[in-house]
Parts: sequence; structure tokens; C-alpha cells
Amino acid sequence: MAGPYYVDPAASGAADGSSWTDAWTTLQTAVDTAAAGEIIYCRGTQVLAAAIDIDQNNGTSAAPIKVIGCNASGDVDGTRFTLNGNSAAANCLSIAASKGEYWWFVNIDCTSATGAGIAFATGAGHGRIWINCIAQSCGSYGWEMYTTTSNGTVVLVGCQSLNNSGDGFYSPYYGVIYFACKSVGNSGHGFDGARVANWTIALNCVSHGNTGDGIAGVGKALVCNCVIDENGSDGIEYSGASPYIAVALANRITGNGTGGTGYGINEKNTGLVFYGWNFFLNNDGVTNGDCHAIPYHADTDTNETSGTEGYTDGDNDDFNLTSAATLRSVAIEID
Amino acid sequence: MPNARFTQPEFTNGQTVDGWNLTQLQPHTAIGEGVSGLIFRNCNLLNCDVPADAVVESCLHVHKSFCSHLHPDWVAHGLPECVENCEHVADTDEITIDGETVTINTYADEVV
Repeated sequence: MAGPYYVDPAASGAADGSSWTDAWTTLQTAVDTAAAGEIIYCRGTQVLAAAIDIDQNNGTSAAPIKVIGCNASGDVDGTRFTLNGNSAAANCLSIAASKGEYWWFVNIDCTSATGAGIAFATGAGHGRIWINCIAQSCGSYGWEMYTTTSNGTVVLVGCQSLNNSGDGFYSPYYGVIYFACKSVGNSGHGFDGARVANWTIALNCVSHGNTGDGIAGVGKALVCNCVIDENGSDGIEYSGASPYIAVALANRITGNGTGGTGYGINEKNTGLVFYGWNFFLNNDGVTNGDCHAIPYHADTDTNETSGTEGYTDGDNDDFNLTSAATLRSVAIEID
Repeated sequence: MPNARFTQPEFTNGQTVDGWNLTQLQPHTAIGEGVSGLIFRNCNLLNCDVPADAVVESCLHVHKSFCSHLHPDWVAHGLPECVENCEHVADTDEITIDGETVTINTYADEVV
């Protein structure tokens, strides 16, 4: 195993990828070179004319390939490496079918592509892990993920999709696990999930101010401890192929839908939705704006449909709760 | 982080607009008309024509023709409804079922 490799678009050394001084100036060279178990460190901003294509190499479950953004000093401190589509590249980062398996992406910012910021071609997609990555101001989806492998192999942690011209996160085939992710200000849905196959799981996420639903199109879905606020249509829309099972626990579903166009939870097909300990307020679809057409109402008495949102500064995406917030904490007994 | 897509946002002279989604439904839609000294930074300016003296920094600034077959929800926001064989047809397949041929169009938004 060789490496680690280095990428710095501002470097002016030997361009062999061996150090920050002699870093490659394009990520493309690095991703075409790296083999299983190797690490690519990158810093600065690369302006793109075309997408970075991951179409050559795979890692393994025991030895993934990692792409890690660094700060100007070359340290890993959460500073992101930027791929700037510059209103020219169709995507910032594109992953070919059955390639890019077992890759980790850490601290990467994909911005201003004319299409999706990050695009998976239709194919497997094992072991793709994304940590602290952003797709923003792109002309289509932020993240377009046509993964066709089983649930749980695409995981996003602390990632954001902001101000894109389509859905924030789009994964129409198989479910994705989102933990502490944020989808804000996109022209489509915040999270648009798998209608048919495996579970979409969203834990501790925020979906705010998107044009469509907060979380849309999901069949099997676990949505827990999320804030779903001021989206243009439903808070959560279940429309998976019937029958399905879904769970919504301890979410704050507020201010979704305008003019009677959205519900807190909208079940469009026949499923079995378990929901409890959620806080619903000011959703526009029905009288009290909470839920629509949910046949199974166990524990609905644990939900709250009046009170105070209590967000610290929701308009600026600070959804920490003040002491005035209704249902600020819940104690769920597990017998 | 305001989201002003599909609407005409209101600006003031000299305003710095940072991190907004200003996506418009149709190419070359003017925004900020009559406002001077605007600075757009880290914005999504898809389909926007900004005032001539505006400064644009680190923004998406292209024009795209959206297809209503791909974005049916946007018709309610004002996207014109496309006909079956619209300009966005990217591919066409014909399948025959019980002797009857059916044409299936694949659509794509187009950068213009």
C-alpha cells in the first residue's frame, strides 16, 4: 500500500502527490491512483470544468479509500476541501456504477455545479460513507444517490445540502442512513427517499425551508428526533408501495405547508405508521395540522399539537430549544 | 439563510445577499430590477439575470430550461406545462405490448 497522497490546487512543486509541497493539483489524479486502504488528503479549492469522476477504483470493507479535506496547514480540523463547479461542471463529484465502493469522503464541499453536486450512477454503492460534507447552490439535486445495494451501506453523518435547485438529498431506490444531517432552502424536498425497498433512516436531522416536503416519498422509514420546519408541503410524506411500516418518534414537525397544502404527517398509501412523542404545530393541512390518514393511532396521546415551538432562532437555522419549548424532552419508558 | 426561489425577492441598494437560493423557473428572469450595488455571494442564481452593476461571487449562475414532466410540483409555482413531445425529450423508447406500440419519452432539463 502506498500513499498517503496529497492534493492542493495551489501547489507548484513536482506534482507527484507525495507531499503538500509536491501535491497533485487535481483530485482526479488522486482518485484514479488510490487503491484500497489508501488516504488522499486535500486542501484549498479546485475549480472544475468537469466533474471529478470516481470510475476506476474500489476499496474494501476492511480497507476503504478515504478522501479527507484539510485546512491550509494540512491539518484535519473540519475545514472542507472545495470542489467548485463554477457554473460549468455538470456535477462536482460523480461516482460510476459499481465503482467508488467502500470510499469515505470527509470534509468536502461541492458547490455551483449545473447539475447535482454529488451524483451516483445507478449501481451498487457499498460502503459509501460521507462525513461533514456539503452540497450547495447546485442546479439540480444536492445529492443524487441511485444506490441499488441493500440498506445501510450509504451513510451520511453531519452532512448538509443547501440552496440547491432540486431535492436536498435524493435516494429513490434504496434507503440511506442520515445522522445529524441538514437540508435547507432547496427547491425540491429536503430528503426524498426510497419508496419501495429498504429503510430510510433519519436521526437528529433538520429539514427546513425547502419548497416541497420536509421528508418525502418514503416507504419504510424511521424518522427520529428531527426538526422538520417550514417546508412548502408536508412535514413527512409516506408514499411507499403498500404495505409498509414506518416509525416517527420525537420529532418537531412545525409550520409545514401553506394554504392548506401540507400536513404534519401525510400517509398517501396504506401502511402502518407508528408515531409518538412528536410535537406538531401550525401545519396547514387539517384543522390542527398534525396528521392525515394514519390508520394506526397507538400512542397518539403522547404527541402534542399545541404549545410553543421554542426554537432559539429558526429563521437562521438554530433549532436548539429554549426552556419555553413544549415537549422539550421526553422520557420514553421501555418495559 | 432565506429561500427565495420561484419568487421575486426584495432587495435594498447596496445589500450583500449571502447564501440565498434565488432559483427562478424560467431562464433569464430579472431579479433586483431598479436596485443598485447588490453583492451576491454563495447564492444559487439559476435562471436569474441580476442588475448590470451587481457583483457575483462564488454563485451558481447559469440558465436552465426546466421540464414540467420532471417537476410536476412546480407547475403550481408557475412552471409552464410541457406537451408530451416537448423540447426536453432526451431519449425515446418504443415497446410493443400485445401488438400495440407505446412510446416512452425520457426527459431532461437543459442548460441553455
